[in-house]
Amino acid sequence: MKLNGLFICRRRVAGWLLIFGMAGTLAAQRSFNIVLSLTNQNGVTLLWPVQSATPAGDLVLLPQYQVWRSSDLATWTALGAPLSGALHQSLSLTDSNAAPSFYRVQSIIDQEYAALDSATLDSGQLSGSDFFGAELFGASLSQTSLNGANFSAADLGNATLTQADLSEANLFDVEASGAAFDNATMAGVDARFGDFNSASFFSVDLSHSDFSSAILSSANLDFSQFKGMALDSTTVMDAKPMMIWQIVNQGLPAASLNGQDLSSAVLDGGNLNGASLVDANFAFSELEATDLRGANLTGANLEFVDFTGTLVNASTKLDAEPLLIWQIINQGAAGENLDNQNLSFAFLELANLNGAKLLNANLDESDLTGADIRGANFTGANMTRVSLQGSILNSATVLDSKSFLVWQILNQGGAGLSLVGSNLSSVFLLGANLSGANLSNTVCTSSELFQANLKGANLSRANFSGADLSSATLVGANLTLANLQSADLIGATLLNARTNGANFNGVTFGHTTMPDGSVRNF
Amino acid sequence: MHKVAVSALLARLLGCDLLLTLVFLGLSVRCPAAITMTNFFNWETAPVHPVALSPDGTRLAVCNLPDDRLELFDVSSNVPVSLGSVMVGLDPVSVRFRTATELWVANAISGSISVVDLPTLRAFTTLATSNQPSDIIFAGSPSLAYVSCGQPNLVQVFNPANLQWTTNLAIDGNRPRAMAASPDGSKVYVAIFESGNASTVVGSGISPLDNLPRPEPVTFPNAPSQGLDPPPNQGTNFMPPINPLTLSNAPPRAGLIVKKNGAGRWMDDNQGDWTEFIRGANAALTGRLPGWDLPDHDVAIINTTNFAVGYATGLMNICMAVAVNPVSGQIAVAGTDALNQIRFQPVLDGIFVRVNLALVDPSSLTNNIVDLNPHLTYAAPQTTAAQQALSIGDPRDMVWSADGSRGYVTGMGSDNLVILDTQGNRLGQINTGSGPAGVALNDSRGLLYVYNRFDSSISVVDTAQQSVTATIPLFNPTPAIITAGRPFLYNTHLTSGLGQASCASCHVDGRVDRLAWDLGDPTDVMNVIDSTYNVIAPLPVITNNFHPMKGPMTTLTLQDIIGHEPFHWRGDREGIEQFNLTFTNLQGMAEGLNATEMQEFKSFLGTIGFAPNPFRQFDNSLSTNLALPGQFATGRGALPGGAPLGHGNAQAGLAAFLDETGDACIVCHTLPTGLGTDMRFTINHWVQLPLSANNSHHAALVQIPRSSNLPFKIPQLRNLFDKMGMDLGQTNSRSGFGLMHDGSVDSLPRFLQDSFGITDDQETADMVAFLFSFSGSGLPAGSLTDPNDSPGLRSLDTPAGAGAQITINNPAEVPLIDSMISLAGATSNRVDLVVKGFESGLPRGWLLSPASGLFQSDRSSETETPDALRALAAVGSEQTYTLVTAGSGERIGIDRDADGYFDRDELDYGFDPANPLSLPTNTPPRLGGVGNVAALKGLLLAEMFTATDSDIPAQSLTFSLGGNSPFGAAINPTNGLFTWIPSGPPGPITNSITVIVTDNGMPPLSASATFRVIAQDVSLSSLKVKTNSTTLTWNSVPGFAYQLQYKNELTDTNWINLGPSTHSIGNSISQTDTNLSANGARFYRIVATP
Repeated sequence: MKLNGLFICRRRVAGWLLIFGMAGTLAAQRSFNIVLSLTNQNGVTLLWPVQSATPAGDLVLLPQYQVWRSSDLATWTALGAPLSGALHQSLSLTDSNAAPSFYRVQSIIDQEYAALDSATLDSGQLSGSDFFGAELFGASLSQTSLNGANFSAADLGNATLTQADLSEANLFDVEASGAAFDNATMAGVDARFGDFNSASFFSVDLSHSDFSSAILSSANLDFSQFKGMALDSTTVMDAKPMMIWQIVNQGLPAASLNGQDLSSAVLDGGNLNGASLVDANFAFSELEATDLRGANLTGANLEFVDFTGTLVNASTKLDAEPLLIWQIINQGAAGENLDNQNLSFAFLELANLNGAKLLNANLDESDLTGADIRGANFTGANMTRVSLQGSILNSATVLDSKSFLVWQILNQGGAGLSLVGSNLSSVFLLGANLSGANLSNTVCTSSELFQANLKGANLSRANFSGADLSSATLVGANLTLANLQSADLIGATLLNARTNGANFNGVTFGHTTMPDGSVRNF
Repeated sequence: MHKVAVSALLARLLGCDLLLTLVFLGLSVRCPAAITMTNFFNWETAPVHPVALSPDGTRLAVCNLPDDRLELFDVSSNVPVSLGSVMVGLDPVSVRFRTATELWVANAISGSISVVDLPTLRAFTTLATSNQPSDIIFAGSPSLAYVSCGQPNLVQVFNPANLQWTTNLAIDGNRPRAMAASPDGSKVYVAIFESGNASTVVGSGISPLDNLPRPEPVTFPNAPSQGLDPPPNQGTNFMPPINPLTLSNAPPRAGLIVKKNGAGRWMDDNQGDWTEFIRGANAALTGRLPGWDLPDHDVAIINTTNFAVGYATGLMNICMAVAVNPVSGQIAVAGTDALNQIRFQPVLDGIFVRVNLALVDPSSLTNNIVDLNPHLTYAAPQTTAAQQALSIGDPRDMVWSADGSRGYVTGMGSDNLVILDTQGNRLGQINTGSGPAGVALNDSRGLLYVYNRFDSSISVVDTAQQSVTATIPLFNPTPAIITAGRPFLYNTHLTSGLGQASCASCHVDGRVDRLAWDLGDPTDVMNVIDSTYNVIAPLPVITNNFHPMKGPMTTLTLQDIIGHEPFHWRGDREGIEQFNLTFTNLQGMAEGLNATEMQEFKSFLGTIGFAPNPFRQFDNSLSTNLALPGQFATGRGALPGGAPLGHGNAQAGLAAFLDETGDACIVCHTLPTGLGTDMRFTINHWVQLPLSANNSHHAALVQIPRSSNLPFKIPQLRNLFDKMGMDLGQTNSRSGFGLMHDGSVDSLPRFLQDSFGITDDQETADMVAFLFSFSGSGLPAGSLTDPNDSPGLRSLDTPAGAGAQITINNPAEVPLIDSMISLAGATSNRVDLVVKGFESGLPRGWLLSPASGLFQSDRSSETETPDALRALAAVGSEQTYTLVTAGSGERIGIDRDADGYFDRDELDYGFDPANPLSLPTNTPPRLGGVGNVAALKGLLLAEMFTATDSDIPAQSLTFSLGGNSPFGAAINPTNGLFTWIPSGPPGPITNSITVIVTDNGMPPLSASATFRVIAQDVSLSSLKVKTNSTTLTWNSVPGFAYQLQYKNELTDTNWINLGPSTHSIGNSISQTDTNLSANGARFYRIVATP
């Protein structure tokens, strides 16, 4: 599912956070090896290399190093002043103290007032760094460990901090208008008096953060987690997220919210007990453990809503289709007869559909990620762009050949496959690995290929009209005479691709790397 | 007859006299014009050092600023005697003698130095300088000329030996202006006019256009304000207390002004210490760097040996005058300081400014600040009239006596000068003319010569008597509309309760003090915006009103404000009339201006225009490659932060300004002023809003998110380059205030990038280049049908070429002159080209006629081709070409007094070209009363005739007699004494005699009168003899005295009077003799005397 140019795939987001999440510490601790050796005088020499806190290719940030000694692991004494060195230089410090001691080497990144506009610091290990007052306008800190870092009074305007770990970071009075924090972890940040005007917090964990007196006007807070987030009377936030924040943190039981827009919201654990939600829009929202008992959701838009653990009771008024979804998610549908049911745009991740009958059911755009579909019968079902990533099937599962091919590609890989002339139209192949595959003359019209890997693939004469190839890798692909009319190539890379005779009419470009290496934005 | 009637009617319509007598003089018949704002442009330039005395003390030079001339006087006697004048450049502000015979004059608008030879009264060369040359000092060994240039903050050095530029010395201060030299010439001291006073704003900068404002640091819990915004100003309270009526309306969050104290701590007016937020560990929270500081340079000190520049600091805000004690070498700086760190109008009422003298030790640079108004306690906004009269305001010049014991400071705003001792203690004060702005001292004669800027005169002051002994008026072409209203801007005695302050205390010279003030009034109430305001975006929704506690606002210029209402940053005053409260509530006046005075003030303000834009090209076009010194990248583009921004393409900047996609500047900032529209878009076109009371316009306000949706007037953009100097990206900043209403945005690059998300350095430079080039008009007009590009209000400004000068001394062709001719000769010219030079040894003037391409000389009958004119140039007969504002060329070039008669014509005929009342029309003299005269034959008839003549200058009158005069009659040609002894046969004789009086005008005109002289004899009409008496009766002429005399014997030696003489009142007299002699016979005679 695409929404506002960002992909909605909650489970995957959670996985990323686990992968890149770093434990918060007060001082920067970057991984490096320390060699300890005893001296002739019963002293100790510590030896370690100087290395950048950022990966190769990014701006080199060399820490200073402070050696500490303790006899009890409780009280630490600094040994000398912080040390600095050149990149790859080995630093050493000899402690003549003869008593048994513990040692630790603290790496310190002090970038107060640093001029780092537009700097690239992606994937850096910058936990606990001090960027107080630093100029980081337009800088890129994606996937960077910044937990406990100090950005107070820094300029993060238009900066990119997607997937960064900013938990417990200090963002007091930060200037971060237009910044992108998408998928970042910002739990526990101090963001008081920060300016986040028009910033993007898509799917950001803001739990237990403090945004008192902050400006969040026009900020994109879709899918952000507000649990425990502190605001005050001077916090400026648009009406919709403010309402979501209230639901999550204060609850709006019995409130009249008819027709309100509560879409794309994380309402997990929120209290809407007895609320009137007629015609409200909950599309794409998460309602895990949300209290909807006694609520009236007649006519509400509940497409793609995660009903996992949602509390409903006999007084809850739900239309038939969302009620069915709620039942499938929370009670399972193993062996159930769901023939002809409308399950389109349904969030059915991990659903139990073992042995279910789904003849002629409408599953258009539904998410069956991780669902148990062993023995399920999908004969005649509408499987347009259904997500089958991680779904579990067996030989008893009845799937049409196109859907089965999609399942194979997604779950078993498609690298090097020969798919000449295949029909892959209107399918969901997000992130699929089709590198080196032969897709000549295939029909991929209107298919979802976001972040697909098509490196070196033969796509000659293939038809990708209307397909979503955004962020896809097409490096070295053969697009001779391919039809890309009206395709989405935003963020895609076509470096060294052959495009002779390809049809690019109506293609949407944006940060697209063209075959010659140039970047096209329109 | 019909034609005459028509001519007369036309003459009346033109408001002039049509004098047919001119026709035969060969002069073209023209309407004697007047000096008005059509031929006079007012930049409201202030003099800097307008008076200089020659080294031998015999010659006085005075910058006649409004007349663009240097006036020379012989002051070898007690009363200056004019030696003549010479045109220099536009707005001469300073003059210095280089030698006894050579003077240098700084022309502020022309951007030039005129070098004048005194004996021949000719400007023999013109040196081009950087913008706004302000003062000149000759110092060092060898002696060099140091020229302060205000706008680019430079001192330029010239070698007077070869008249070549030597170097530029950057001055780290805004507006280096008045200068002085140390006694040994090793140091040059430059007073920095807009030096600042170490106050700055704690503000939030600026957020993007549609974003909310960034959080104010004042609201931070850990700030000295403890998060209260506004914080109390007296302990935990507000003084005065907040009006309960506004308690339901929270004041807008605003910044706070803080000032560095003597200990280097940055304090607010409630003793809150903001040092950590200004320069300490928390500096970033106010957008600053650690160690940020305002050095507060007040006097630049140039070492004339190596050109090293040092500074004296911490003196005052506006450093107006500098003088060096010739004995001690102590540097004295006179000027004003502001109490802008103190909040609220009621607290500052009457006391907001001090007039100070700083005495700086030249070695240690330690200083002592003296209040030049020691009689004031500042305890109340008003004082007694006597105390107020003692005050000095707006001090502009200073001179020390040769022995260093006395200093004299002129108060341009207070119409006086004060006498000081070496410690700055007041010894006395002397009232002068209006606007004393310059002073020179002849120590040996004990005389001060004071240039009075506003009434354009020289006051001669006897230092011993402490009184003005003579006042010499200078020719003053300033239109009456200016002179009438000017006092309400400047005059501190007239417009303040303590006599030391005026509007000009903050709006210095009609401009700014580069400070922000928090002049909110807690006691006031909400000012409700009504439908008369023109609020756009959206149209015309009004959601907020004006709160009386408005927060810091930087001082706005008064240049070209009339017709651009409403006023203030917020547009909360609908017209200048609403500022009457400022006179009483801030300046302490007992009563505000009356309606007439306010109108005069308003009319005067309406004359103040913008000077030529130094960033435009000569032809007023926008540069495509404009250097932007002092502008730095913010680091958001390819250039690192703090790197010079590079050159900008102002034309590209204009295109971006007009680009209606995205956040188009033009939607709000109309051209050519930058102000909002005075119209409203109705259906499909813009409709002019009707004027409201007092003819106020409705320049639009906006409510945009970044200003909390509070209404603000869309600001004009013509003086942005005057606001540069604040720098938050470096540790040293020239100014404490920058752009935006509270002055919290330090630079245009930052403003552009924070407001509009521009990150490209070149795009930023282009826009900065255009914004620097904004004033000068000539920009694309808006459209009546484009909702995003309204036609704009007009701009009172000047094309870039105005004032440009060059002097030549040979006929060679000069490209610049060709360019000048091209520019002034264009159909749509906005400049005139005038030439001053010599022909046949006579000083002459010429004006280029765009219609003919010829130069009209100051003789109406003469024109010259450009080549022919140039052919007259030679050493000793130099020509100076000057571009002046369109409409003023005739006055400046060939008709100084704008009386419609060209200068040389007037001189040819003996009239004064600097006196509009002196016209070569020559009115005839008038004879005094003449009547018939009775006379006696043989007696001398003496009659004194008088005559008058109204011509100016006074003409000499000559008396003569007509051809009918009798023999022997005569009249003294000089004094009109008529004499004649009538004679003739017996009986009354009547003679008709004509007296003529003739003036020496051109042509000479006469008046005559004919009178009759009736001459009679003395004849006895009867003699009656009685026994003891004899009665004689004779014919008499009234007015004559008759003495009857007798002898008893004709042989007696003497005639004896018989009784007293008798004055005749009738036609006969009778007298009786009762003392007859013994023999009964006597001889009588009658003696008549006039």
